[in-house]
Amino acid sequence: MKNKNKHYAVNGRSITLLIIIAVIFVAMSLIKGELFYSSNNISTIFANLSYDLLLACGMTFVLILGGIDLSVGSVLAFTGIIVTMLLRGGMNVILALIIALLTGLACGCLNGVLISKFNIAPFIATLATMSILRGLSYVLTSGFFIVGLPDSYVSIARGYIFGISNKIIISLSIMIILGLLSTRHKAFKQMFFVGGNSDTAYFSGIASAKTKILGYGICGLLATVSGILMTSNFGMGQASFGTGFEMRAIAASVIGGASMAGGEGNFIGTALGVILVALVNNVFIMFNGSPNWSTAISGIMLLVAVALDLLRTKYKSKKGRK
Amino acid sequence: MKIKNPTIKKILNKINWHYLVLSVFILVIFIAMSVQSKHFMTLANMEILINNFIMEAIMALGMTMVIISGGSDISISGILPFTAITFAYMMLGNVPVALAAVAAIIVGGLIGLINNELRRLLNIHPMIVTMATQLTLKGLNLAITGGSVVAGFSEDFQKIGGFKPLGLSLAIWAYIVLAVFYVLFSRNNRLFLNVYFVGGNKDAATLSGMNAERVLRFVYVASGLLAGLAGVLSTTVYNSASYSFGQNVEMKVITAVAIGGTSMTHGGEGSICGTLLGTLFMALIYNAFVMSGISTYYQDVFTGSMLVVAVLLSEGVRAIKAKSALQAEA
Amino acid sequence: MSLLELKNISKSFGDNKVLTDISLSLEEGEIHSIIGENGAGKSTLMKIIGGIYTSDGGEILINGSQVHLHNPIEAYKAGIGIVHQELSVADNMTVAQNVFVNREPVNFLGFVDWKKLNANTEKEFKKIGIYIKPDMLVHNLSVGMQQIVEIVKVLSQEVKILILDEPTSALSDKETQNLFELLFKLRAQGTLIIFISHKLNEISQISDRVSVLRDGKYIGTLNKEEIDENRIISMMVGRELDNLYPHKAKSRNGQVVLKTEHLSRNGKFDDVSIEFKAGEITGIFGLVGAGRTEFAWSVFGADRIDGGKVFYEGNELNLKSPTQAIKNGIAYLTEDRKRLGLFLGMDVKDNAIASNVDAVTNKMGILDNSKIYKITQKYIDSLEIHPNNCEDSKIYNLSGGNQQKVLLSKWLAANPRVLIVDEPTRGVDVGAKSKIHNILRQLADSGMTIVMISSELPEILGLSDRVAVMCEGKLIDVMENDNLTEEYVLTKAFNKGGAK
Repeated sequence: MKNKNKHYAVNGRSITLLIIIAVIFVAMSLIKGELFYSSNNISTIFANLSYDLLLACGMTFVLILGGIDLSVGSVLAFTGIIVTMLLRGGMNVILALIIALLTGLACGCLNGVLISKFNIAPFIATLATMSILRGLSYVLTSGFFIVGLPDSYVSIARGYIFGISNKIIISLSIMIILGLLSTRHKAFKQMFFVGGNSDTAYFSGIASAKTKILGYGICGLLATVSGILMTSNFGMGQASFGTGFEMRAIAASVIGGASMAGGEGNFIGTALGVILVALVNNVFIMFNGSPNWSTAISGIMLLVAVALDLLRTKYKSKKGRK
Repeated sequence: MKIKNPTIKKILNKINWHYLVLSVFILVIFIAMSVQSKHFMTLANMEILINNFIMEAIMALGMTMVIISGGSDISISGILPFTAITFAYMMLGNVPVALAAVAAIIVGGLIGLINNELRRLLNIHPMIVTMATQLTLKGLNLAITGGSVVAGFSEDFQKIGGFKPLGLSLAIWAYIVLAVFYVLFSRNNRLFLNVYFVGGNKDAATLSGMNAERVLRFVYVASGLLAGLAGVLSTTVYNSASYSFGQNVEMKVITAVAIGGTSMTHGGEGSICGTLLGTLFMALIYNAFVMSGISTYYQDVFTGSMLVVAVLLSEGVRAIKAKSALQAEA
Repeated sequence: MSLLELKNISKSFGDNKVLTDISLSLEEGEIHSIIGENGAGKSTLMKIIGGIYTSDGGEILINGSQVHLHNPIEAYKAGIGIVHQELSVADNMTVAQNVFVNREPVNFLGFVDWKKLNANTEKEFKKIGIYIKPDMLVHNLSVGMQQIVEIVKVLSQEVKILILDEPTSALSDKETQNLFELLFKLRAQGTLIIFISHKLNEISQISDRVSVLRDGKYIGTLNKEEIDENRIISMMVGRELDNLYPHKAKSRNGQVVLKTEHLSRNGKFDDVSIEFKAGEITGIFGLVGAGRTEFAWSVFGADRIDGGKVFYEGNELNLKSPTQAIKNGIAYLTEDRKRLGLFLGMDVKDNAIASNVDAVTNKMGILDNSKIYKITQKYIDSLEIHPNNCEDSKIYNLSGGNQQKVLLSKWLAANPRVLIVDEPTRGVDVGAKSKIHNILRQLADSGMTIVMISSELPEILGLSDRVAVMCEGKLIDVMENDNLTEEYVLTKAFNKGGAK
């Protein structure tokens, strides 16, 4: 029986992350006791996980392609506003959802087109769309919250199946499906090639542009699902939703094994990365009490993750010099 | 359109089309706004126009050199509030104003140094490094101030905010001095000129005997210093320091530089003069927003779109130039 | 005591030995040319002298004392200046700025004294007898002019040892003569000039001595009176054919599968008309700048065509991308396997299927793992790739020869009718080399059309049924490989008597 596919199978990195998470868990339980392992605290940690899970999943695809998507937080907010505005206007829930998803897909594809056909650097293109979408979100709402959503919509995120929040079920299932597909489906597999070495991919006959547009499109779609879950959960649409979420998504993906250089990505790792980032945040809050540190922590974790990743790439390229 | 006459061709080649078109745009906007509203050409409005964009204008000078060197500095929107807060706390701690100001500006420079060292040691693209620094700083700003505004300075300090020699605020004077300095030095000073070399082809610059790392260190420290200055000036203007200072300022600054013709994608191209034009353009547009009462939320949409347009245009122009150059060679 | 003495200089990149035990003495006040085929090691040797590489063992002595050069700046300090083959000018700056980069005359403010800078630049250009406006943007200069700027840049510094690596490739005849005049002047001043070129006529014209390198080894030096083009050629090729090559094609009456008519690509190659037949291996030989790889790129759709046509199985082909080429059955194994051929970070099986992912997917687009392993194993077995169970190994863990075999597998897996291979055995050990040769012959026997671009004369003569020779973008000749000698082919590659 040949080795299992390394990209999805639990690899060294994932095991390391699992151990780190377990150690933190145990340590915190010993130090802070009931405060930490109470179902209240645990569910708080996992509550916000679902949004990050989806964003990080999309970010992993983009990182595999060797790019980056800074606009995910803005897409989350923007599509959230679209769907809530439509719902407030009385539109049928399914229809509103479809329109929102298509919008998010379009936003992602726009990024992909700017990057592959117009040759704009991913950082700049997504920085710009991040700005535009965030601005549009505020423009559409004039800063007000959008409320008055139908119960059927709100129950999407707030519901429970077998005691587990719908949010977790939806985000985990999507992540598992996409993670499985990532190495088993041709379209996704090609992302590894394009991200690994886009020139070689070109000479090997792989359609780079199409692959990139697909990757960014999926990222936008996943950000939309995240936006739907968030607006559903809070029962409102808000232009400030998702601000700063892109950093956590990048940090989680890179911690999980995606490389900023492209060609690598592991979805189990990304999921564990999301959990780790959430855990570290929670640890700080437990000790410091102020949630204001979370942005700073994300920044530091991102820096550390990216630095370690680049050191690893440097080491590998030295090995490959034959 | 094929031009045959050699003299006309010569003249056409010498004109900097980018600046010409940009200047025309600026003129058109100027005229349109004067016609639209009689309040536009007033001294009061001119003050508002300038003061609303003066911090960005100052930082755009440093950003231009960073982008020419082939990188970018996203962290300025974190440095500005950070140095403002540092400055504020120092004064509250009874440090003399002048000393505190200098110290805060130096802190800005130190952060710029950190940006560069991280970039160098870890071999990370400057965009990523400065993005991470920005995030960290923003978080620190929020955490240190607990979300509240830092205020309550001495009366003497409050007078500084109103100090307006010849009717122009301190910030404007600072900008004038810096702008003149940057224009002169970027065209004549060897270190500044070396930035163009390093941005154009870092390896060739090194092969030619240049210390490329020293040049890069210079641009990032300078950018940090200018952001630090902007932070200190902001405190004098608002008589307080807050974590929310400088929101989105990196977008506005980068866009102003990009509109001015400095290439985001190819290092070694751009100029301070272009940035001056780009800054003027952005300041005008933002003033137009204020005057017409359009909600501030449109600003982000505008800035983002302008960035895309500016980059697309400069890439398009580059492609056309390259194509016609090749055909000429054939 | 010699000005520059090289003692036992060797250099390997991984298990690829590029220079073996080179010892050479070079004197002041001489123009010393170095010649050799592609891959003979000339550029590497120069880069070692110039501080860009360090040698594995051996010594470099300047005026009798040993020097250790770790970077170009140290080399400059030691009085060594190189004009590289690849230009290192900044095209966004002026001529004067490029010539005096980082050495501009400045005042106390650090401001450049533009007048002085331009005047100094004009002085330097006067020495070479060429005039270029100092304040012109280098961007607006032709490549030839840019090369002159590069040369003047190096010359404007006090160099005792001047190395020029293919300096005349973009120069006109007049500019070349001007350069030579300058070199003579420098020689009179005592400068040692090391001149690398593949142009025999120039070497004959200016050299005091000529040294020949072959396969990374020093072969010999000829003094001025001994310089004879034929002798040089025979020193370049004189090797024993100890490699056994597979048989040639049994018949050469195959169908013409691929044909080009007057194919041109501005600045790269011109008017190439050639036919490639099924069942045959056509070798394409040439020296630096011959344009062979560029020709292959255009045929493969990786680069555009500026003139002429390509015909494939009788129909005109208009390829816009390699994707289309592969769909049509044309494969191209790139010259640089690390940069353009393999996905270094991925494993062997992923590399093997990269060009034909469709073959291993079902209708829904899902990859069939068992098919992937089957195909990979098939090529591991038939190409004898070591280790045998390497499907999941990262490709960077394999030796050069095995990497090349995996690269070949990728293209074979795409089921091409035409296979173009560019330097198929570069950086490959003897065993793998032989295996690849045998595979290529087997493929030809089974009806495939093989085009082999190579700089190794033994390989060209050992394997090809027909040999095409290109020189500076032109197709010089296509010959049946009956009784061809290395000297004859190399002479064609120099295009002696042919104009530029």
